[in-house]
Amino acid sequence: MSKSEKKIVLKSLDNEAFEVEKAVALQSQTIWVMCEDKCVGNEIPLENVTGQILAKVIDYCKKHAVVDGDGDESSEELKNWDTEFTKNMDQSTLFNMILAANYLNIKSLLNLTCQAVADKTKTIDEFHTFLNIENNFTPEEEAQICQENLWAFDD
Amino acid sequence: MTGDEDRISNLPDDIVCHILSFLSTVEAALTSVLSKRWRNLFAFTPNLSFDHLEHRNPNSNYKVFRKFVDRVLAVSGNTPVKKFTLFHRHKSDAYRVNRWICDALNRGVSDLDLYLALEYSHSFPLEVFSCKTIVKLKLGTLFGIAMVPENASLPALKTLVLGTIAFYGCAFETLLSACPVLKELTVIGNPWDRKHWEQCRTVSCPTLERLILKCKDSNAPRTITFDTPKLVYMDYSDYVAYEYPTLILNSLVEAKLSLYMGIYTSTSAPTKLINGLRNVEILNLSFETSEIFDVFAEPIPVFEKLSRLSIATNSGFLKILEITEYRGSKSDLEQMRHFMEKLPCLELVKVRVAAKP
Repeated sequence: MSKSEKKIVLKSLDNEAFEVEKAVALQSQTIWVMCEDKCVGNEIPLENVTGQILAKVIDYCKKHAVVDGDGDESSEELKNWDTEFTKNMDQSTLFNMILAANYLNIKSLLNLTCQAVADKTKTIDEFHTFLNIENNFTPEEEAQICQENLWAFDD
Repeated sequence: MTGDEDRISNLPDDIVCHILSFLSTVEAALTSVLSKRWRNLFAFTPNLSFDHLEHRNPNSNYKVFRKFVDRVLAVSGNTPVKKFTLFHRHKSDAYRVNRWICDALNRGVSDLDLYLALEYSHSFPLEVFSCKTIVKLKLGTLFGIAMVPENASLPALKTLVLGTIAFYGCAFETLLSACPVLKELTVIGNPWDRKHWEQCRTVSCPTLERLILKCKDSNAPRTITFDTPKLVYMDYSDYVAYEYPTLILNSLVEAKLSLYMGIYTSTSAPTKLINGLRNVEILNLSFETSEIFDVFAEPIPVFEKLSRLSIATNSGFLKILEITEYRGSKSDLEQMRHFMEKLPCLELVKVRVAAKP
């Protein structure tokens, strides 16, 4: 494999191009399938991901590719890195990361970002504020649902 | 707030369910009042976990708990379940509990974690032992399994954890023989029937790589057989058996022993056991275990491959230490200093230097 074949260009929705090592990009099952099918050249258009999000996804993949390659870097260190990675992400970035991880099919990143959302939402109030969901129930309907799932709401 | 900001509602259902799968089912159920879309979504997560003690209100009763489990399972119908966790510490209503477990089995569960209190040993659903999809099975606690059917088959099971479960007759052996790809086995508490403790205990599994056996009971077992040719790691804590008729531990690399003297222990059993571990590279002995050598005053077998030995000790009765293949490297020196510090009764250290390459 020549040197140029080891690199791959990922192009975001807003036409931002990122040149990355193939090993980094191939953590995405979607990209892997595209490369296997040889239906794309050296440049892969990713129509669902913005440059801002793609840059973060690549950061994640770079970190994890290095660790997998070395095999020796402690998983503890990697875990801390993951925690830091999602810690200060705002809600909008986090959801876009979830969508990107889902589209690119990077299982570990999807788990990490979904876990981060789950960690931030443990009470009803947290759900309402963090997830910003509009309640379209009438008070009667809400009372009925609480009754349906009494185990969860009874306190 | 505008609809545009409601980002999570833009996520497809399966991703929302994936997020909810990181919460316990009772936590996830709180989302049912968020909006109409969310009303039943929580029931469709691939991980369902029900634990009565998890409730914020400890007085909340089992009736409400059971109603909740019933409803969640009814709502989600045949949706596939990856992980199913059930902690039900109440002896009544075994029929309903069995129905829940069978429901999870029918949905292709791969990770089953059950912590049950059963009144009768026969009330455990035997369907668990012929589930084709289970990869990880955790069973607890304090109940007996009367029999494992002859046609039991767990073709995908890789990890089995048994916490204080008694198997009657040869049910334990039958279970192991039904697991053709088992890699990890953890047994806490004696899995062998107390009444039959005099019978042979056998851990026989050709694929097993890791074994944790902590079954220190009130009596020493008569015999224990380890027929585990692929075993790499062993953590064994028990009374020394009266006899070890068969020890097949050819692949063992690391052993952690915490053994106690039983009244029935013969004088040759510990030596036979230690001899069976001759190929280990890493050996970790509890203080009591190292004392056993002292009691019998038998020569310690030569461990040709041993590279790391650790002995938990509070007084360190070890008097003679023999080290082979000594290279005088920094780590060797560190290790030696460690021995000197930790073994105050040490009288003689024999060091055989490694041949130069």
